[in-house]
Amino acid sequence: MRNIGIICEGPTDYIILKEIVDRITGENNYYVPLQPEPDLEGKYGNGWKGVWKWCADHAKDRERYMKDIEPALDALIIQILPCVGHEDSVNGYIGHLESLVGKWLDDLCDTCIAVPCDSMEAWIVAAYDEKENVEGVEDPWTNIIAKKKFYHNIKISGAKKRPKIFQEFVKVVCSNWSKVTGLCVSVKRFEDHIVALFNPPETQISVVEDD
Amino acid sequence: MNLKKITFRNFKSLYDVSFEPGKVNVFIGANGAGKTTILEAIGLLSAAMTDRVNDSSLQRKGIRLSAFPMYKSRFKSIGRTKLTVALSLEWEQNSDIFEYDVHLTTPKDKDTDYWKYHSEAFWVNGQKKWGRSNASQNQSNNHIGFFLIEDDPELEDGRSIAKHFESYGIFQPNTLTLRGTVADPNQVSPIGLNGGRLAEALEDIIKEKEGDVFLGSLYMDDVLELIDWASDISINVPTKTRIHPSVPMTRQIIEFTDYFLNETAKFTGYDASEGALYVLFMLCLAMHPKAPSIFAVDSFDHALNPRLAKKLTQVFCDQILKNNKHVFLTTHNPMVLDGLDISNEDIRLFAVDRDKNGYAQINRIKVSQELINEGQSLSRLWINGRLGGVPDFI
Repeated sequence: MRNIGIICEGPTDYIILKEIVDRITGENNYYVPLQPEPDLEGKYGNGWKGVWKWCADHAKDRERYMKDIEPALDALIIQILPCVGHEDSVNGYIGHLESLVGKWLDDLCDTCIAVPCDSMEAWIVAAYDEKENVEGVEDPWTNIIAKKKFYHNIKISGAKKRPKIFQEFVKVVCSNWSKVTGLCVSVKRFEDHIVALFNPPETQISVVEDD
Repeated sequence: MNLKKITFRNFKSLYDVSFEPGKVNVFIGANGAGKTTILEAIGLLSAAMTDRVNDSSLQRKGIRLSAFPMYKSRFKSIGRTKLTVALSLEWEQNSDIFEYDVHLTTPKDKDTDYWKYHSEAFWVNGQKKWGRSNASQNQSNNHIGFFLIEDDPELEDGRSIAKHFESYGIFQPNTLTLRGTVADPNQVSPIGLNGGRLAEALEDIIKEKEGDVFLGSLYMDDVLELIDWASDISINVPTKTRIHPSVPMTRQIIEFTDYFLNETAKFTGYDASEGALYVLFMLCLAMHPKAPSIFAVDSFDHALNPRLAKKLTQVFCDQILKNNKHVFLTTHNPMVLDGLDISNEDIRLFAVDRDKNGYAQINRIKVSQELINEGQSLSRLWINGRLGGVPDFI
């Protein structure tokens, strides 16, 4: 079991990420939700700006923030989504965003970066519908999952992204994991990063730069 | 005597979890994480070790009564419910390490509320010294604990913990009881679990010495710094000039002199700010010689201004350590954490979180002094999520 801090864009992303990491590592890890960070007014700084702000604020004290508090964090997982309308290949924008986060944080030791395609929901659609090229679908939440009142017998009340719905979705993502990794380049890449981070051959490789 | 380790198995959300307590133990966690259940499991252990377990003994300790099957862990992930609730306490005394283990089965028969002892065992420095189980020949009565009554010399050394642990209770003061208008349903001496007879308990520990007034070992002037609007506190009999005739009242009442009012305009606990009564209640628990030496307070911060919560935490911790007590607290107020000196090994902070199966996990929090000196207060770290003990996202 490892202690893992998660910095992500939104609450539902956190639910997906922690279950997937458990699936990849085969362990029941302990997770600390670091971002979206509630401020004293109870609001969240969601989205890529929140992730960027967290990285900028913790670039200098990241290691102490991880290690000087027990339970110490063994790893950070940072998730960031590409902006809508990018024209790069999936691998191209993933590589670009990974290097961008690397610059924000200065040092990527013990850190894994998850860059899904346009949204994490593409991974869900891949799991349920086994749809080819799902990473190329724009806004899969609106255009596929929440298009009707039910998505594979799960009620989508008010087309709102509710954590409880995602807790159901992620079970299917994990049970169809090999299909999802086969259909989504970003998932396979994330899996490789996690494996490299937690089972380094000799030195830890957390970011794979594009050729 | 120092408590070293407490283990719970198959009790409500505590499927298999343990922690190593200090003298002051503070639990933080999301609502429903299992903080109160920890306090209750300690109460169950206290009842099993020093008495028996039934509705009456549980209620006396402030434990919520549940439908019998609901005392056991009922998680989806464990399939068939396990037979027993298992609890264990490890403590140190005179350089020896003692351990008491008990396995209990909940009542199955509607006609009895007695839990059955499936087994009990006592260990000294890792060696089993005594035990009983369902298989024992002399299982004469499996409704009562034998740890205190068995005629076995091997048990003598370990039994002294009972005088500390038998009076364990979960205190949860409520304002009406503190004001004296509602009777305490869980009245114990010297002070009830809901705050009953606070005035009488305070009277026991207010002393005058060489012209100075003390509450326990604290100068009354130091107590009044916590209740900054009051210039004096005394215990008196109720009079018509202080209390409305239609208000029910106890035999003894707390009277406050307001710093801003004239001397004769005293008022009672019935009219005073509830925060003042909570402060006096906590100090009384920490300092009264007859108050339990091992106890719990659920929602320690109730009714306290954040700054008062921080200051009271500091004073309360000092008194707990000074009086060599053990206390288990829950709180939702970040400022309580800033009153904890967790660099002191006797003061421990724990985050309670559910894992993916729903099992409660208890993690001790430690923060380097360097990080705190850099302005990373415990309250800030908690709010930011770094300590755990927060709902995932609401």
